[in-house]
Amino acid sequence: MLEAMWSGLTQVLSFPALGLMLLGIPIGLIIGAIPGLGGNLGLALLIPFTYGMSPIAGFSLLFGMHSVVQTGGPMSSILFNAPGTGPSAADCLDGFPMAQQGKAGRAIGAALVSSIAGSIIGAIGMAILIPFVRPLILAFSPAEFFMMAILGITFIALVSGNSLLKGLLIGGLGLMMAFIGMDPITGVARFTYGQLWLFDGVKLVPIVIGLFAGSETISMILKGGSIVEGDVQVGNDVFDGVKDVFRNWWLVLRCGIIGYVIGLMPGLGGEVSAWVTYGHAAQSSKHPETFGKGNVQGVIAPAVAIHSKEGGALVPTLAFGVPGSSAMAILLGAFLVLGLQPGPAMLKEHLDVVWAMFWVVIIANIIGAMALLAVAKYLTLLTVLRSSLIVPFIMVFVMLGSYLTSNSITDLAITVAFSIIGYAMKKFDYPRAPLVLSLVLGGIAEKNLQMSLQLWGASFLTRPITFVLLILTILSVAYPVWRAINKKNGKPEVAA
Amino acid sequence: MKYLTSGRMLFSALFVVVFAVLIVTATGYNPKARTFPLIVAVPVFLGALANLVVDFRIVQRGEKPKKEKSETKSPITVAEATPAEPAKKKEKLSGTAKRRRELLGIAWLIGYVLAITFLGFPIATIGYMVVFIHFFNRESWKLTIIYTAIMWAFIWIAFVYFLKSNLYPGLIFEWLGI
Amino acid sequence: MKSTLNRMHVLFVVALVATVLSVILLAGCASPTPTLVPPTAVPTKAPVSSSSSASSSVASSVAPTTVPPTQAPTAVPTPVATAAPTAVQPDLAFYNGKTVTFIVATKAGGGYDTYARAIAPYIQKYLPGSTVIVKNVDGAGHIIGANETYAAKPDGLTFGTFNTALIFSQIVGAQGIQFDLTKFTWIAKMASDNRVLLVGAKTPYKTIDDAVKASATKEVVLSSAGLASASNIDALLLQQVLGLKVKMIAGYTGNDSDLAILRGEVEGEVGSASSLAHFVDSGDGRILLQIGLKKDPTLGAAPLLSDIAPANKKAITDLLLVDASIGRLVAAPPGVPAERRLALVQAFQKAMADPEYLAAMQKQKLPVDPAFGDDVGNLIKSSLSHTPEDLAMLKALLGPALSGQ
Repeated sequence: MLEAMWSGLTQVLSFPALGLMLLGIPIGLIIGAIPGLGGNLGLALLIPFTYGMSPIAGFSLLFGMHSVVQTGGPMSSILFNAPGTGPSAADCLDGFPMAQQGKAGRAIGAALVSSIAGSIIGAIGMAILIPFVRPLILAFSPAEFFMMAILGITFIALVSGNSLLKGLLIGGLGLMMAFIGMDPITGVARFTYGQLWLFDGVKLVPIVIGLFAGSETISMILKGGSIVEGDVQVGNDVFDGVKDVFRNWWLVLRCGIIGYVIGLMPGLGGEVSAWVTYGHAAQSSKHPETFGKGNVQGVIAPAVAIHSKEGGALVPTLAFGVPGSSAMAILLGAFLVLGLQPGPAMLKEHLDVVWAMFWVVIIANIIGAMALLAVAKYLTLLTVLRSSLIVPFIMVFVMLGSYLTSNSITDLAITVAFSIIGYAMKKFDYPRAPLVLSLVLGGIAEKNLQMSLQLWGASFLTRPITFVLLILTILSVAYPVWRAINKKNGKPEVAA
Repeated sequence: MKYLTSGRMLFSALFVVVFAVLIVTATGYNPKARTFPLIVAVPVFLGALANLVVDFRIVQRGEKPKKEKSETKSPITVAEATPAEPAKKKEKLSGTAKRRRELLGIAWLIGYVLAITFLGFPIATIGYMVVFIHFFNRESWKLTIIYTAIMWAFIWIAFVYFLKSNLYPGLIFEWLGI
Repeated sequence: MKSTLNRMHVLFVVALVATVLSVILLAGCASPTPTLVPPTAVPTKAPVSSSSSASSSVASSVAPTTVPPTQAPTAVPTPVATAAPTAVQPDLAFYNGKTVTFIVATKAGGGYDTYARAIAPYIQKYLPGSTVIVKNVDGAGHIIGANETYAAKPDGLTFGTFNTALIFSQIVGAQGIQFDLTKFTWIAKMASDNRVLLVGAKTPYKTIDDAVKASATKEVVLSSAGLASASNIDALLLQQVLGLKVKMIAGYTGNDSDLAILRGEVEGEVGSASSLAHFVDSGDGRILLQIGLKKDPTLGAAPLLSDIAPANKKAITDLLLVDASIGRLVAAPPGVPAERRLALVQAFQKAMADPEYLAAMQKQKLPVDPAFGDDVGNLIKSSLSHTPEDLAMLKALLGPALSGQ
């Protein structure tokens, strides 16, 4: 195995592989940073170029691009409150407040180093655990997915800040929105009111872009100024952000593992990993009330998870030929073009290619993150740009991103509507995060519940892993309640 | 009177109405399909009513929501998040002037999207940027043109040239048959 | 300051009025006056002759190859001449300097998208001077993309690819359909992909007969992506034809079903041969039945549905066959001038005969099995014409699944 490791490494570091990787990295960063462009589009565009390449060269290009998409995503989340990718929406919650406080550099530094950490954890998980992971993957069924989604939904309470009631209302709204569309299980088109474009449900990207970034533009037109409020020096704290990641190494490790495990389960997706780890970070922190106001841990947790999740998604793809995510489905096609057949055979015959992927993921992330770190200071200048210049910049990219999601003009109307709604929500103390959380998880929860009931009836709750998750969920709900009761009784706050 | 015009009350009331509509719609579906929507919508509807009451009290008090006292000092220094004190010399709008300005912000968004719909993305974007930066914010022509040109160059190279995306051509052009 | 606010006040009111107007306009444009044609019930054709003519035309016009040829293309069926009156010349000059839009009714990265992007550069090659771009318009199970293709300007600059299974949707009159499959300008189809019934290796069913017999006491548990999906519809139709009692568990989108079968959660699924082949290779599954015009050699001993289906179920069998034999179809809006249609058809013919294209497709293990023009169109038309009894039966069977009641 060591020879395979070494062989993979040397092949990646030689041309043409290295050159192709260097070509893929900026493409991935830009695709990630621009809202509305997905990594899948990049893959679909690049794959035709890989015809005729050797496997390792082809993978250097594809993985070089794909691994850094999630590195670019948090950049726009932090700077403009506009998530570049769906999963990086969780980084808006604390990243943007940090930018508003003039700490954009620190947030960016933290996010970038978290990216490296997350991808290393994911890559190690992929390469080392593949032989052992089969039973683990097979142990998770719709029942477990349902409980995981419910657990995630309970995190709504954590991201609601001060207004629990309003947070729950918004969470409920998100769940209702998740129900919109043709329900595959019953075949009923719910809440579509005859509109065909609602058939597949509401699209996450236009909503989130409008909710977070669009509403900011309205704010900025209102009060002028720049993203940063007041006169603050920006850009000097990038290294602080780097240090933050090391300071929080235990959180990083936990989130990396959670993200990896979620990635192993096909169908859960990057958003789930981002929000579950965000909620976990908030829950395990001694000061959960600081989340949403600029706590750097809230930036680190999702940034780590969205990268380790990619490593996890590779596992079923390589081990079984079953794609772990939609991007992996596309990559499977690439495997075939390059002459590889994923599955146990590949692990035996082409072990060096597997290790090459391991190295590409890590090296591409390091290079990508380093490149951004170098310019981080200049990126933060965007936050002090005055509103007359930054507002059109944001608005154009918001609308562009929203339209490009599916070439549909109705998405723009949705973005505008949610910009207005988001602004109103901000003004009247309604937290916005629960909407995204429940929108993402609601569909997963209901679908898997229906499937579990169909498969096993109500006894699905007695499955071992499901039961454990159920207990965790109950604890997760009970704990803040218990804490609140203690506070009311005047007891000094029990350290978490 | 202030209850009727208060945005806060309107929003809370809207919440209640929306969920009432959702509940009514949901009951029209077959039993299996309506279970979960109802399980969610009914409690939320009740919560929305409670919320309406809460917001009513807030408006009564003069739009200053009771802030939770979070005495615990956090190790991570969080800047006092709400910059309520107008210590800086930024203009502090209030009352109707503030509302007008808010509506203005909304109008810009709507106007931009309308422009995209009718004139197509390229023209709308360039037009919007020029009008916003120069006419509305009174920046110099030089700055406006350079900034717009750079942004447009980036968009064009990345999206039209490389990605060959379909930037929306605009309804007017469709109607004119171009 | 005050005057600025007043001006902007007016601007806002104007914007508001304009918004209301354009919302109304957009709502009108987004759903153009539907030229919806109810599924044709053709009472004049006697049941026997209609189905047999359908199957005979299928047999004669579809190219016999299912394995992508490694050398020069196999004989492209001559019927192109029948696609247009003999005097028509392909109008290649028109395409010089123009942008051609290839609409794909799925998101980037799916099977249809892959086929479209693979052939796009070759279409461009054989329409000299043109630029072919792929536009993804996904939603509502290919309906939105098909709608957009149908409503596009019939100038020969737009065509689209979408799921053949829309046949079922049209038969049943599913919500939201704004096209009529019989009226599209048919250009080509790119592949055929046998449908197969796969069961897990651990299940006790060794042959299709085992499964049918066993299902009498305990239904066979099959996964599907959703009620309206091909996997569900095919299974329900199979139930009708073979008497195979099934319990469908819906919700397994994408490849989720693969893991479900491995876990033993479900016993099998109905899907396309190309997507399920890996099960056979890895030994994790068995193919009990294949649906198609001819046996796919990689699928082992599984019998063809047409060989074992009872004769009185011909209508349904043929329907299933059409879905299997017409894969990755390409159509343009109704009313494209004959010269331009011919240009497009010929471009597809040359592209699908191009050795580079074929080599690339073979590497990706994507089957190539072309047919062009009216061959495709006639098949589609015949699959949509049924006797009133058959139509009623199909509607009763598929209706609940597809129209979201």
